[in-house]
Amino acid sequence: MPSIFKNIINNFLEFHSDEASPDRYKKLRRNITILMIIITTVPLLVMASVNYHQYNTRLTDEIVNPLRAISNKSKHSIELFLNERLSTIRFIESLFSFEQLSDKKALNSIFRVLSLEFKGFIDISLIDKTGKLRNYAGHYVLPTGDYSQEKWFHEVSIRGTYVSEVFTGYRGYPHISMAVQHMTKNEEIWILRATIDIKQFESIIRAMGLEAESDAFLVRNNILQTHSKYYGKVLEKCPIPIPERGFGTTITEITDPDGRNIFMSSIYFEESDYVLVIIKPRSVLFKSWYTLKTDLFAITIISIIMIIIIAFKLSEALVKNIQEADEKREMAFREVQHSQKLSSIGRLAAGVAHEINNPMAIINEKAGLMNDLIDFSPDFENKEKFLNLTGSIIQSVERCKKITHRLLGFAKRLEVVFENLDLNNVITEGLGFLESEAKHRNIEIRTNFSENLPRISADKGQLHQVFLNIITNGMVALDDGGTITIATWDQDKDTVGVSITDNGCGMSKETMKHIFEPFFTTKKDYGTGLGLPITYGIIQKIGGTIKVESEENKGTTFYIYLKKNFDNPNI
Amino acid sequence: MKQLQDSKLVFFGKMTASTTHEMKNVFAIIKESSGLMEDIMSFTDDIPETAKIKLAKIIDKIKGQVERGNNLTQRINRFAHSSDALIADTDLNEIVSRLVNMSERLAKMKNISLELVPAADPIMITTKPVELLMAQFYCLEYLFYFLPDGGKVSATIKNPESKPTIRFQIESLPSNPGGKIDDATLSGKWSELEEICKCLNANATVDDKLCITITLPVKPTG
Amino acid sequence: MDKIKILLVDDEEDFVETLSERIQMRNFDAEIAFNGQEALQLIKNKTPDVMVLDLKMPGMEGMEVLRRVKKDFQNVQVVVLTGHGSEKDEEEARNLGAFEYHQKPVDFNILVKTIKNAYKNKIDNTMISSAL
Repeated sequence: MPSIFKNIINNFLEFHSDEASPDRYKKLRRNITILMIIITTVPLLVMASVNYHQYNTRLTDEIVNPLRAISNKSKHSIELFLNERLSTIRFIESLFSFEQLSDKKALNSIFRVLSLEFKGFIDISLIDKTGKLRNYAGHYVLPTGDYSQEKWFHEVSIRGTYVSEVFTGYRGYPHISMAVQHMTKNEEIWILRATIDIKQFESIIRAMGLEAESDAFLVRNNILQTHSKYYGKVLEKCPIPIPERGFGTTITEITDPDGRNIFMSSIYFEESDYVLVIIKPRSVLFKSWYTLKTDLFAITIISIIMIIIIAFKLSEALVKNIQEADEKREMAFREVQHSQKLSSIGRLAAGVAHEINNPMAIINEKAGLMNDLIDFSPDFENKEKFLNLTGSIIQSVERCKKITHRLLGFAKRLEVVFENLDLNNVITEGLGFLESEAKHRNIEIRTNFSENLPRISADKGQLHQVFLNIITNGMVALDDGGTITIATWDQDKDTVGVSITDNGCGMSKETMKHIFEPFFTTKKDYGTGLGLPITYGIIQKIGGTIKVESEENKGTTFYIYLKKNFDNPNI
Repeated sequence: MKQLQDSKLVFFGKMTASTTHEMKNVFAIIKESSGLMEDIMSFTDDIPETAKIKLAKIIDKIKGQVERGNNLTQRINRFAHSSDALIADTDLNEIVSRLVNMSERLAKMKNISLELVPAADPIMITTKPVELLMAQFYCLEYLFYFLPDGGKVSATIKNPESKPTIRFQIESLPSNPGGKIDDATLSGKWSELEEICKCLNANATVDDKLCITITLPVKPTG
Repeated sequence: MDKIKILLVDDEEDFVETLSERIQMRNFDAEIAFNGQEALQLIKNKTPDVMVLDLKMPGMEGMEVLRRVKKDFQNVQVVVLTGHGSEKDEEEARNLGAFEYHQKPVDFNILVKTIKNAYKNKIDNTMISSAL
C-alpha cells in the first residue's frame, strides 16, 4: 500500500528536466498544487463531513425517537377509542334482539346509557336487511331513510363491521359512523349503526402535548379527518403527500407547501385507512444545529481557501526555484558546450596557423642556403648587400615565427581554462598584439611590474580580453606620442592590483558614470560600445572589481583588482 | 553569459585578424627582399654563372613559399573575419570555400582530397557565419571518420528552388561503411551537428551512402 | 672521424632538400626520406647517427616513426623538428626518447649544434654500454 501511494506520487510529480516542453514547469506547478490541495483538504473535508454527519445523526435521533414514540402511542389511543366504541355497539347488537331494539323506548334508554358511559356517541340507529331505517335514538330527528344504496351498507354486508371516514352528512357537522351487522343462525339479518363525534379525536391529539409550532391530525385517503393548525380544516384535502402504508411509523423530512422544512411522522391504523400525521418543523428543532453547521461550513471554507492560496504560493515559489536552478544548470551546460564548439573552431584556425610554419621553414632554409652559397663563393660586388638581404629574410622569418606563436597561444584559448598564471607575463603577451599599433602611433607603453607578484588562478583568454579592451580604449583616448603605464602590485593576501593609466584626454564625471553601461560610446562612428561593459562583466565573473579615476585633459586610470584564488570556475 | 562568450569570439576574431595582417606585412618584407636580390643580381656581373643560376632558383622558391604563406594567412584572415558579426549576409559559395580551404591541411594529413563544387551564381544568405562554419566542420569530421587513407570528399553547393544546400559526399565510398555507424562517438558527432543546425535553423540529413545534406534558410527566423 | 650520418624525414620536399644541401655543405652525410615508411626502409639499410624528424606527415605520423625507431634502433638519436607541435606533443616525443624538440622554422646554426650534440650523446652512450 505505501509503495502504491509512492508510485502514484512519483508518477504525479514525474518531471523530465531534459524534456523540451515549454509548459513542463506549468504542469509541474499544477501537479504540485493539486497534490498539496488534495493532501491537505481531503482530511479536512473528511473530518468536517464526519462531524457533520455524526452530529446530524445524533440530533435526528433525539428528534425522531420521541416523535416515533408519541406517534405510536397516540395511534394506539385513537385505535383504542374506536375499538372500544365498536365493541360497545357489537355488545349491544349481540345482547338485544331486533324486536327489542325496534322498540323506540328501549333504544332511547340504551342510547342514554351509552351517552353516559361513553363519550362521543351522537346517535344510534337500527337498519333492517333491506337497508331501511327501522329505529333511531339520538339528538337529531331523522327521516326514515333507505340506505340500501349506500356504500357503507354494502361494506358492512360483506365484512360485518364498518368504520366510516369523517363526513358532515345531514347532521351538519363532521362525525364518523360505525356499523355492525347482526347475523343469527336463523339468518335474521339487521344492522346497528352509531355515529361518533370527532371532537374525541381532537382531544386525544391535544393530550399528546405538542409544542406550539407542531401539528398533528388524522388523514384518510388524503382528506383531513381532523382540524389541522397549518394544513386546513376537516374534510379539506391534505396539502402534504402522505407516504404509503408501511410498518409502524414512517418519518420523513420534507418541505411543506409554505416552504417550511418539517419532520413528518405518519402511521397507518391497522384496521382502517386512517393515518395519524404529526408534523414538527425543523427550524425549531435544529436551531443549534444550524449555527453549528454554519460555523463548520465557514471554518472549512476559510481553511480550504487558505490552503489553496498557500498551495499556489508555495508551489509557485518551489517551481520557480526549480526552474531557476534548471536554467542555471542549463546555462552552465550550454556555456561549456559553446566553449567546446568554439575551441573546435580555434583548433581549426590553429592548424592552419601551424601550417604557415612550413613555408616559413622552407624560406628560412632557402635563405640560409643562399647565405651559405654567397658566403662560400669568392668575393664579388654587392656580396655584402646580398648577405644583408638574406639576413633580413631570416630575421623576418624569426619575426613571423613569433607572430604565429602568439596567434597559436590565442587560438588555443577559445575555451575557458583556468590556469595558474603570472599576471605580468599575461600582460606582456597581450601587449604583443598592440606593439605594431603603438609603434605606428608613437605611443609609449611603460610597464611597472611588481617583481614578486603572486600567481593567480584565471583564464588567460579572459584576462587578455580585459587588459586589451582597456588598453585599446586608452589608446583611443591618447594623442599620438602619449604614454600608457601599466603597473601591477600585490594588494593584500587575497588580491592583486593592476592599474592602467593613460595621459590622454580623460573624461567628464558624466561620462565616467556611464562607461560600464552597454552601448554607451564616445567613439563616434566606430566601436560598438560593448568593450567596457563586457570587460566589466568578465571581471565580475572572475570575482574581481574594476574602478576608474579620470580627470579631463589629464588622463584616466583603471584599477583592476583580481582574486588570487578564484575558486568558482563555473564559467 | 552567452554575450560574454560571443564577445570572446569576436575579440579573438579581431585579434586573429590583426595578427594575420601583421604576418602579411612580414611576408611582404620577405618578398621585397628576395625581389631586391633578383634586381641586384641582374646588374652584378662578377657572380659566377653557376651560383647565379642557383640563386635565381632559390629566390624563385622563396617567392613560391611566400605565396603559399600568404595564401594560408589569407585563409585564417577570412576565417577570423567570420566572427565580425554574429549574423551576416554572405555568399554561401564563399563561406563553404572558407571552410574547405581551412580543412585542406586536416584532410591532407589523412591523405584525403577535398573538392569544392560551388554553385554557378553567388547564393546570398543571411546566417550566423561562425555556426555555419562549425556545422560544415562537423560534417567533414563525420565523413573523415569513415574514410580510409586516400579517400575523396566533395562539397557541392546548390540552390534548387531557393533552398540553399551544401552536400558533403564521399566520392569513393569505403567497402564497409556500415561497420562503424552505430559507434557512440559518431552519434555524438551527429548530435553535435544537429545541435548547431538547430541554431542555424537549418536541417541536416544523411543517407545510406553517407551523403550529408544541409539545407539552409535564406534568412534565419530564429 | 667519420662523417656524422644524418637522416632527414619531412614531407616538405623543398624544405628537406634545402636542409640536406646545407648540411652537406657543412661536411655531414645527409639522406632524405619524404615519409615515415620510406624513413623506416632507409634506416634498415643504412643506420644513421641522427635523425631529424617531422611529426605531421601524411601516412605514418612522425610520432609513430619515432616510436618504432626507438624500439628497433635505440642508438639512433632523433631530433624532432615540426611546425605543429604543442607542449603535449613535445612531452610525448621526449617521453618516447627524442633527443631534442624544435619548432619550425629553426635557426640553422641551432639545428646543426643540436645534431652535433646528439651525435656526441650517441657516442657517449655507446661508450658507456660497451664499458659495461
